[in-house]
This record gives sequence, C-alpha cells and structure tokens, in this order.
Amino acid sequence: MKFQWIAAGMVFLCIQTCQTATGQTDLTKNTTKNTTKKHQQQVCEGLKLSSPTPLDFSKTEKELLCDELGPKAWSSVPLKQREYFLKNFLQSRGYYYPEFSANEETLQVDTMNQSLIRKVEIKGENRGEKKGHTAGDDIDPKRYWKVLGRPMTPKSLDEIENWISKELGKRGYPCFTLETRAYPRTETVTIKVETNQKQKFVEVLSEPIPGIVAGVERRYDAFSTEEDFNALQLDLTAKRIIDDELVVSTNFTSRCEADKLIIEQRTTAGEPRLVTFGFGFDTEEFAIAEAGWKNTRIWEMASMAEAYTRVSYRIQKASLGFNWYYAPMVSRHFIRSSVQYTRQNEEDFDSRTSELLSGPSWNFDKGFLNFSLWPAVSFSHTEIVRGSGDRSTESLGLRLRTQIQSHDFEYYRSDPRSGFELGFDSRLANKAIGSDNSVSTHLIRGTHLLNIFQLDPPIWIAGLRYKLATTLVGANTDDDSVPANLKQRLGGTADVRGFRRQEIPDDGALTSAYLGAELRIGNVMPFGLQPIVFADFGKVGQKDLDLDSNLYWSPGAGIHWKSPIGAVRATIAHGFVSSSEDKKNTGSSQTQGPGSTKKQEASTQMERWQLYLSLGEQF
Amino acid sequence: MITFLKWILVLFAIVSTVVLGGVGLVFVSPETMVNNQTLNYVKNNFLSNVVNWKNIDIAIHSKSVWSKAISLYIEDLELTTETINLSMPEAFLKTDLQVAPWSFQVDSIGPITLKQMTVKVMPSVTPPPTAVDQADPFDINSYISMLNDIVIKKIDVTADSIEIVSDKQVTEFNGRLSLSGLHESNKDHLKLELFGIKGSYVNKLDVSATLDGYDSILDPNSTVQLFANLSLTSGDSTLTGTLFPGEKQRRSFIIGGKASADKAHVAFDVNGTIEPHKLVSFLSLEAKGLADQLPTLKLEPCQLDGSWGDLIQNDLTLKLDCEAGASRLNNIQEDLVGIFAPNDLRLKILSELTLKNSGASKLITTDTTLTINQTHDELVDLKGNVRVSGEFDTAAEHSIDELALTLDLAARIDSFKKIVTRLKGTGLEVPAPANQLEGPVACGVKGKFSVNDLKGRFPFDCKFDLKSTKQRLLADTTGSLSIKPTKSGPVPVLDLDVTVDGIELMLPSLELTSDIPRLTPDSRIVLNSEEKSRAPGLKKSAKLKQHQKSQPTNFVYGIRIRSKKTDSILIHSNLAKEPIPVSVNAVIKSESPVTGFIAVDNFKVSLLRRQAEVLRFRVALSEDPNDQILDGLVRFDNNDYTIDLKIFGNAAAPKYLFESDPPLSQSDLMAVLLFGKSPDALDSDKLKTVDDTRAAIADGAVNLLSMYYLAATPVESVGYNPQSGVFSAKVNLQKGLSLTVGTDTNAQKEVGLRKRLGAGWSVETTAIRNDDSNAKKGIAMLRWGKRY
Repeated sequence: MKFQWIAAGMVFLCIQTCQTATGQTDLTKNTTKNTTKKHQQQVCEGLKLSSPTPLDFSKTEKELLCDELGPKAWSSVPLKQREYFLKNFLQSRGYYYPEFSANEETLQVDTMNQSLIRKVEIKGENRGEKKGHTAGDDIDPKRYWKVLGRPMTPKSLDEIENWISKELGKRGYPCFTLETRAYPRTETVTIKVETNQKQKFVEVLSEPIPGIVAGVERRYDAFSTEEDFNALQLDLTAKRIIDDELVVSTNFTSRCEADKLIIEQRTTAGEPRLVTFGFGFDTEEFAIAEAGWKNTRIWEMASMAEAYTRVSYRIQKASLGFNWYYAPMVSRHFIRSSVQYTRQNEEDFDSRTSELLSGPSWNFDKGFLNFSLWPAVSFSHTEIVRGSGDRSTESLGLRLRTQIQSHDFEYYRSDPRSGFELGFDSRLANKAIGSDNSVSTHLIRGTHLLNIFQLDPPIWIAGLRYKLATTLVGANTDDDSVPANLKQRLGGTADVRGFRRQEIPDDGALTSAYLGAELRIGNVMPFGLQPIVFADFGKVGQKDLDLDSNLYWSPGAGIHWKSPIGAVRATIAHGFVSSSEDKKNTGSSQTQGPGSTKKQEASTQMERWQLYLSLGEQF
Repeated sequence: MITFLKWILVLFAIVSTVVLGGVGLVFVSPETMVNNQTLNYVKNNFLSNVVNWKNIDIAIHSKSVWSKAISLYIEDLELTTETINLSMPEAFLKTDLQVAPWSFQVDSIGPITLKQMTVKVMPSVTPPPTAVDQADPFDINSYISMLNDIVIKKIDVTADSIEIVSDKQVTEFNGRLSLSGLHESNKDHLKLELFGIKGSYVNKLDVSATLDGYDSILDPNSTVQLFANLSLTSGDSTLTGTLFPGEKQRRSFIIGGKASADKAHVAFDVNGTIEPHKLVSFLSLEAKGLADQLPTLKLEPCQLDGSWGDLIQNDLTLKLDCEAGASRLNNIQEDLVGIFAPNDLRLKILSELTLKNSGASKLITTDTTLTINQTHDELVDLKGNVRVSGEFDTAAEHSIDELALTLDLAARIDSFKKIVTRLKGTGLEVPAPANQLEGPVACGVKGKFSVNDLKGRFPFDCKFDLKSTKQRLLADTTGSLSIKPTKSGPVPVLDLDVTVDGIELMLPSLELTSDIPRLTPDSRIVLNSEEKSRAPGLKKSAKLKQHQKSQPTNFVYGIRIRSKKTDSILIHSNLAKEPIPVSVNAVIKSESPVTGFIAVDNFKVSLLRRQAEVLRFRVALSEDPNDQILDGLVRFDNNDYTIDLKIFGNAAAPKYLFESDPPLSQSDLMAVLLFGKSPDALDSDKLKTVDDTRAAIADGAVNLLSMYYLAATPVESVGYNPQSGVFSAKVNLQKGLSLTVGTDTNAQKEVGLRKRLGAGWSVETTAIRNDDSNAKKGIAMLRWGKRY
C-alpha cells in the first residue's frame, strides 16, 4: 500500500505536467483558439476592442490610442494612425490579423485569433558552400518547450534566438548567424542557423588582477585549449572564480574576427579582503549565525586565508584555513591547511572536536568532469560531553577527500537539473601511530540527476542520491570507545527525510547506507513552485561493513519554491521501519523477549510524519 | 504612166468613198458599228479578263447627225481589275452626246440606275507615279470643272456591299445615292445614305445627307440647303450630328457626341452656324470618370469660331474663346490630386488653331492659353495659366515641331487645418502630432517645356509656415520637375530641395515603467504566408533589392533634405528636460538607397546622473539597421576627469567606448560613471554591476534604449550572460519603482547560489558539510559582506 502512494503521486504529477511539454497546458488554453465568447473592452473613448482575453495597454500605448490622454499635440490621433499603432501593439501581443471598423469617431477592433508558436524549425547551414552535417541539425527545438503554445511575439522570437545562441555556444559554435522568420498564419517559426567550423578553445585574453601574477585566474578554468569550445565552461569558470571570492566579478566574452575565435575575460577585482556576517534558519538547526573573514589574494600567487565561525543550536564551529599556492607558476596544486573547532550538540550526543589538517590539494578538469583531491595529515582532539564513546580521545591520522563532479552538475548547482557528483571521504587513525584508538571512517556518496527528455528548462528532473558510510574499528579498540561523533547516523533532510535528524539509530551505528529517489517537477507551476515526490531508504549496521535487517524508508512529497530570497523547500514524509525479523516474528510475539518488544516499540515510535522546512536546499 | 495614175486615182476614189461612207454610216447610224453583237465580240475577244455580263442591250438613238442619245442596260455586270471588283444585277445608263468630227461632248448623263451593286476596291500595286506625272489624281477641282457644263439627270445607285481595302484597314458599308438632277433645274436634290460603315477605327457609321441646291459646291455663290444626319458608333462611343438648312448661305448644325471608354464617359454638344468661310458655334462638354480625382468635368458653353478661305486650298483657322468653368463633384477621393484639386475652377481658354495646307502634309499651328482665375475654394486658392504653343506636321509621324508648354501657377492654402480636415477619413490623413499645426502653405510652379525634344523644366517652390502649441514647422521646398528621355520612354524627373528652417515636434510621453511600445512591425514576422515558399533571410532580401534595382523606374526623383542649423529641428519629449536639437541631411534618390544622416549636436543633457554634453550623435540613414552607422561623442565633465563616451557601430549592434582625461581604466571609468565613485569605494554588488555592464557594453549587447536607461536612471543592478547575450539591468525610476530592461527580463528571476539584495546584502546558498557525520546540505544564509 505504501508503495502505491508513491506510484500514485508520480502518476498524478506526470499527468499534470506531460501536457505542458506538448504545449497543451493551461498556459495556452486561454490563447490557442478564438473562443466563441469574446471579451468586449472599451480601451478608452473612441476605441472598443473585442478579443479572446482582456488586453492591458501601457500608459504610453493608451496615449497613442486615445485622444483624451497625453500631450495636446497627441490629443487627436487620426483613426488611421490609431489603427497603425494598434496593429503594432497587437502584433507585440501575438495578434496579427485584427479587423478594424470605424463607426463615426469610434474604432471598433476585433483582434481575431492570437497566433501561437506551434512549430519551430531550425535549418542548419554551413558557411560557404560546405554541405553535410550542420550545427543547426543537432538542435532539437522541441526541447525549448516553453515557447511552444505561447503567443508569437517579438519577445518570444528573441527568447528562441537567445536559446539557440546558448545551445550553439555549448556545442562549439561561438560565432554564427541567425535569420528568423515567423509565420503567424501557419504559426511556424523558421530559424536559419549559419555556422563556421566547430571552434576549439583558444588562449584567453584577460585583464591583470592587481597584486597577483597574471593568469592566476586560469587555475579555475573548466576547459583547456585542446577541447571544443563550450560556452558553459566559460561561464562555469567565471562562476568558480566568483564563488571562491578571488574577484568581485568576472565575465568572458567570445567573438570571431575573420573566422578566428577571440575570448576575452574582463574582471573587476575589488579588494582582496572580505568580511561577512550571515543569518539562516532551518528546522534542524533552527537559527544559524555565521561570521567570516577571507583574504583571497595573499601574495602574488593569490593564496587564500580564511577565518570562519558558525553558530547554531546544533553546531558551533570556528575555523582558520589557509590555501597556500606554493608553486612559482600558475598551478592548481596548493597546500591546504586548517585548524577548526567544532561542537556538535545532537540529541544523542554532545561532542567537541579540535582538529588540525594539512596536506597538498589538487584539482583539475578533464573533459566534462572536475576532479579534486585533498590528502591531509590530521591531528584531532575530541571530547564527548554526552553520549557514547571515550570521553576524551586524541587522534593522529590521515584524511582523504576526493570529489568528482560533472560540469553541468557544478554549473547548475543553484538550479539542479543534470549531471552527477561523487565523493569519497576517508579518515584513517591507528592506535599504533599516535592515536588513542583505531577508529577510521569511510564514506562514499553521490548524487545523480537526470533531466528527462533533455528539456530546457527542464520539467521532470529525476534524482538519485546515495551514501555508504562505515566506521572501522581496529582490533585493538573496543567498539564502545568509538566516540559518538564518529558513529554513523541517518535521518533528517540530508538523507532519510521521514525521520528526525540523525535518529537512526539513536545510539549510532558503525555502518549506514542510504538511497533516495526523487522526482521534481520544475518550471511549469506558477510562482516558481516545484512539487517533489521522493522515497528515501536507509539501513544501518552495528558492525562495520555490515547492515542490520531493519529498513528505514520514507515516502514523501514536498514543494520547492524559488522565492525572491532563495530556494525554500518544505517536505513531509512518513517514516516506516520494516524488518525481515519482524515479519518472521509476526504471530509469535509472545515467544519474544522483552528486548525485542522494546525494539518494536521504538520502531513504532519512529514511524510518524516528519516535516522539514529549509531555506536554500536544492536537491 | 497615165493609165497607172488613172488606176491609182480610181482606187483612191473607191477607198475614200468606202471610208467616208463608213464614217458617215457611223455618224448617221452608229448602231451599225456599236451594237450588242460588237460589244459582246469585243468583250469576248479583248476584255474577257476584265469585264463580263450576261446580257447587254445598247440602244443608240440619233437625234441628229451629231447628237446621239445612248441607252445602255446590262444584266449581271461583273468588272474585275487589279484594283476593283464590281458586280451588279442590273445597270442602266443613259447619256446624251455631241459627236462631231471636231469635238466630243457629254451633254447630259442620266438617268443612271445601278441596283444592288457590290464593290470591292483594293489598293493599287502599281509603283507610285514618277515626278513627271505627279499630278494629283484626286484633284477635285478638275473634276468639278469638268462637271460644270454637264447636265446630270437622275442618278440612283444602290449598293449592297462596298468594301474598300487599303494597306491598313478595310472599310465596309452599303448605301444609296440618289441625285435628282444637276444643271437641270434650280431645285436639284442630292441624297446620300451610307449605312453600316465599318472600319478599323469605326464600328458603325451611318450617314444620311440631303443637299438641296448643291450647286454651291460647284459654285460658291449659289444657295445650298443641306440637311444631314450623321451617326457614328465605335465601341461604346456614339457620335450623332445634324446639319440644318439655313437661310441663304448660313447653315445651322448640331453635333452631339457620347464616348465611353472604361469608366470614362464624355458627352458634348456643338451647335452653331456655318457660313461660307466662317464658323460660329458654341460648345458644351461634360466628361465623367476621366480620372478618379476628377469624376465630373463640365465645360460651360464656350465659343468656337472658325474661318477659312477656299476650303480646299487655303488655311483653316479655328478660334476658341471659352469662359469656362470646370466643376467636379465634391466627394473625397483617396488621391492627393483629387483631394487638393478645387471643386470649382473658373477657366478662360483662348485657343487659336490654324491648319495650313501645304501640299500632302498639313501643318497645324496652335497657341492655346488656359488661364485659371483665382479660385476661392475652401481649401486651395489657385491661379495662373497654362499655355501650349507651336506647330506640328500631321504628315510626319511622331514629329512635333516647336510645341511648347508653359506653366505659371500658384497655389496657396491659408489654413493647414483645412488640409487636415479635408484629408480626414482618407488614406492620406495627416498624422499626429502634425495634425495640430496651423498656418499657410504656398506653392508655385513656373516654367517652359518643349514637347518635341522633351527639354525644359518646371521649377516650383513651397513654403510651410505652420505652428501650434509647442510645435512649429517652417520649411522651404524648392525643386523642379522635368522629363528625362530613356530607352523605355520619357520619365518624369523630380528634383527637390527641402530646407528645414525650424521644426518643433512633440513626442508622446513615454512611460518608463513599462516597455517602450513597438511602433513598427518586427521584420522577422511574415504576415503573408505565401512568402514562406521563398528562402528566408538576408540573402533573399539582397536578391530582392537587386531585382528592384534592375527594374526600370517610371519616376525619377532626387530629394535632398537638410536643416538650416544644427537646432533647426527640436524634439520635445518627457525623457529630456530640454528639447532635443536635431539636424538632418538626407538624400533620397529613386535609383539608390537613402543616404545622409540625422544628427544631434551640442546638446546639454543630464546623463548618467550628471550633466553631459552630446557633442555629436549621428545616425547614417539606411533601411537596414546594420547599415545605420553610428557616430557619437558624449562628454561628461567631472571635477577630476573629463570622460568621453564614444558611440560607434550600427543601430543593430551599437558599440561604446569610454575614454578619459586623465586616463582611467575601463573599470574605473564605468564605476565613476555609474556610481560616481572609484571601484575602491564600491561594494561587491556595485562592482559586479560595473563588471557586467562593461562586459555587456564590450559585447555590444546594450542597445541604445538600454544605454539610455543605464545612463539616465540610477542603476540598481546589471546582469549579463555573455554566452547567451542576455543582458538585463534593473534601474530605479523613482522611489519604490524600478524597471528591468534588457534582452531578457526573465533572466533576473533565476535564483542563483548568490542572490544579491544590494548594499552588501545577499542571500547565499552554502553547502554545509558536517565533517563528523558526513552529512551535507545546503543552507540559504542572509549574508552581509564587505570587501576592503
């Protein structure tokens, strides 16, 4: 029965949205065919309008159409001139064949049907006389569904041209010619796309950034000169630079001069030091405050130092970090070091950890992927104020953080739609090498997104998230001495959303596995609302690399709202606990011991509705 | 010898007796020589190819030795020559002759009866006569003089079919000619009836003429009574005429005609008297549908006089003195001439036309003056005259010698409002805001034009002196109209200079809180779906242009428009506190695209929230925005810097370049201009705006209107995506009111990782990872930041 909920939800959302992609949504219902009932509208004295839907005219338009408005020189616009103006105003609204009739001083207008964009045709053409495959052939205009069924207006044509420009830029054609013809009678738009040969990236002409070596910004490049041009990679590069606060703003522009591609980067550097204060909220951590300081351009190789403090009811954290670009040339290798203090105040434990990390870091891009790697030496001191494990432990070990992400995942992180991210995180400690215990943790996590039908903007976005984490306890270490903060837990907005934050299990586990599937319906509902249905599944194990029989899963639904101040996300899910042992024991509960009954009671208590509200979460 | 002589004399006497006897026999009894048998013999043996008949009966009656009366009856006569085919069932002819050895004279002819004759006359194929015998075979005077002494009795000719074939046309008709007598009594009577004349130019012509006392034709001093009816039908046109007999030598006549062609209908009446050597008549004419703009034209009765000496040999002079009035229906036509032509035009037509008889050719000399008296039409006062003078030869084809057309016309419209009112409801309605102007418009044309060599020109000028509240239009227009001979024929040539001395026009108030209304159709949208079959795009346009260029034009014009001063044109707009001075220098030619420019020079304006001066801003005129080359220089005076904004490129993709003295970097310049501060003093948001603005400007993504918004209103934020070319700027219009302009106003709605709120505040989505629990999630933080 529970799975039927999910299926029903999915089907409902699909039915609601499938019509949109085929251009038959409510969006178009008002405008497609000339309805028998027409809206009669008196725009002003002397102008009556009959149209399928009410039309709004701007003040300037009314001044040109109506005698009583505007300066005196325009107080008596002849009927013919009014007709001319109105024709153009109606054309900008998609009405191309209005019928005019003049009765004395009154202009009666029947706007007739609104012309919609039913079909978009792209005709590719190679510059010169070259025949064969063209760039335009690769672009399927049906993917740009949002103009289909919309009124055929100059603005819509601009949008189609912009979209094609973007698509060509992503396909290696930065320079092209578009010739658009729209035929309101047949409701068809034809765009002739003329391109040169596919271009490869060239050396970027960039402005120097004050105080640092010229070309430092190249370490953020998501492209290399051997690769085919892709405008998305230029934007991604600019985005990385800005997100890293190296400069205030930077932009790439590309143009062709005599078939030669020129890429220029313009940068507004701003001052190198940045101080920030921030406030946030979610239903897990409640109020969040943060303060930070950063200098992104230390020395001529633009090393970076950062101080950061974050305070919430659950987590208090302070850190000092330094990324040292030690090489005398522009490089993506650096030494990354940090000192941080973290207090984690969860329901089941309270831990305070001080940690020093230092090690070489490297990142690079290959094809459409970005790789980053940080092996570091770690020295930490942990105190468990509340919860299981040794009260105080010190650890000397290794940390390894690796991440692979596709460019589209990285680029659309603010509005996820496609791509994947895969991360590996390991912490190694051994009692024999300066640690109080031999407790290591390993994590594999990933997110895969699929833009179904490759629509742009996407409508159906399917997501798959997974995580496998384990805490390995050495033979020379007792399981009970594993600090509570190193145990694995599930529950909360980060994984199994039908349960409270980190409540699976309440005393922590050594192994956890999570798999979540989600379907988001985007860009079809008003006000930027995006419905979500999802199902999360989790398992934990009290032994390392071993999972218990209990399955924690939670189907749910939610809404994602692109609010003016950021993404607001609300989810409601019901947690369920099912166990093969439970099934086996069904009907013979009388034979079970009190421990088993307690477990069942706990599981039953966990099965409830869980609501989460957060700002900023995307997927 | 003597005997021989005797025999000779005897033989001579016998021969003489036989000859004299024969001759005497012929004179005494000619029927012995000329009778049915001999005529049949001659026909059969000598004239069988020419003439044929079934029966012939000739009777010769000798009144005396010298006076003979001949009666001839022929049945089924057929005559075939190179130039004529004639046949008739019956022919009867009687004539009286004086046959003396010393003379031969026809005393009388008639009666002649030719019944049911059919005749076909064909052109002669014999070579034209040589110079020696160039005497006019149709010298009617010689025939008339021949007939002077012959008594012609009754003649009755009926023709079933007469067909006259000439080189170019065939004329057919049938008719009857009856003549009661000539030189027989004082009341001779000639009646001619011709029916169904058909020719190349005539569909049907019926002529019925009765002439009493026709001796006047032969004797100018005799009395002639002529009554004639004429009926001509050609297509939809008919012409009827009646000539009445008058007293003595005066004959009255009435000629009425109706002609129709397409929509045109012309009806006229001429009545008057013809006296020997003199014509006095009155003409009235009504034409309908000659032109759309002139639905009805009426000529009031006007006098047409003519004089001639000997009708055949001397000149014919016609004089027309007409105090005429041309009237047209007062209905508004959607045609410029029709609208402005006066409803009632008083004309005086003085015309003298002389037809000079010069051998085979006829030389026509004319001097016609059409004087337009000042009309007090409610719209136009028109006065002046049109004169046509010269001569031309009717014999020489397409040759007009010394025919000149002289124009001297002046038109004045006292009230421009009247034009506005007159044009109201037509396709030529005066548009706003010009329809609020009031004042006079005066135009004149004066010149002479030679028709024969198509030389000459008509210079003309127009002056506009129009004003209204906050608007005015002062302009002088001078030009000329001439004819240019081309291979495809003469075409009119208009050469026009328009000097603008002062124009002030009011633009409609433009609302900044919404998009500027689209006033012209989008060229990408094809309303006529048939055009889809053609290849779209610029190449098609180029081909079209080429095609249009190669087409022969039927009107050549060259119009030069220039303003007298740089501020001759002032445009009032709510977007500018002061009127914008505009100058124009444009050349519009029929055979080439528009050239020239529209310029704004030395205009102080508040731009980028500070005083600036538009030193120059020129737009090259062209239909294609890609060819509308821009050249602009705007100078901003700062206490510390002088900053120049150079505008170049074209209207479709304008480009901008900032320069300063002392030199500043582009970032610094943009920061100073947009925010009045150096980049060091700007927060991150403003620096981002500076950077995006720079990128958008460098990429040519900022159109002129967006640049105006950027320049004239406080900028809140600018966003630009170089790859898609999407530019958007949020500008503050007034307190609490902002506007997003650019190529894609929706672009701002996307939520990014960092959503800037202004003044250092932003909402940023931060990926938070809990190092211990390995949980990772995004949190939106309201964040304030400052760089230093």
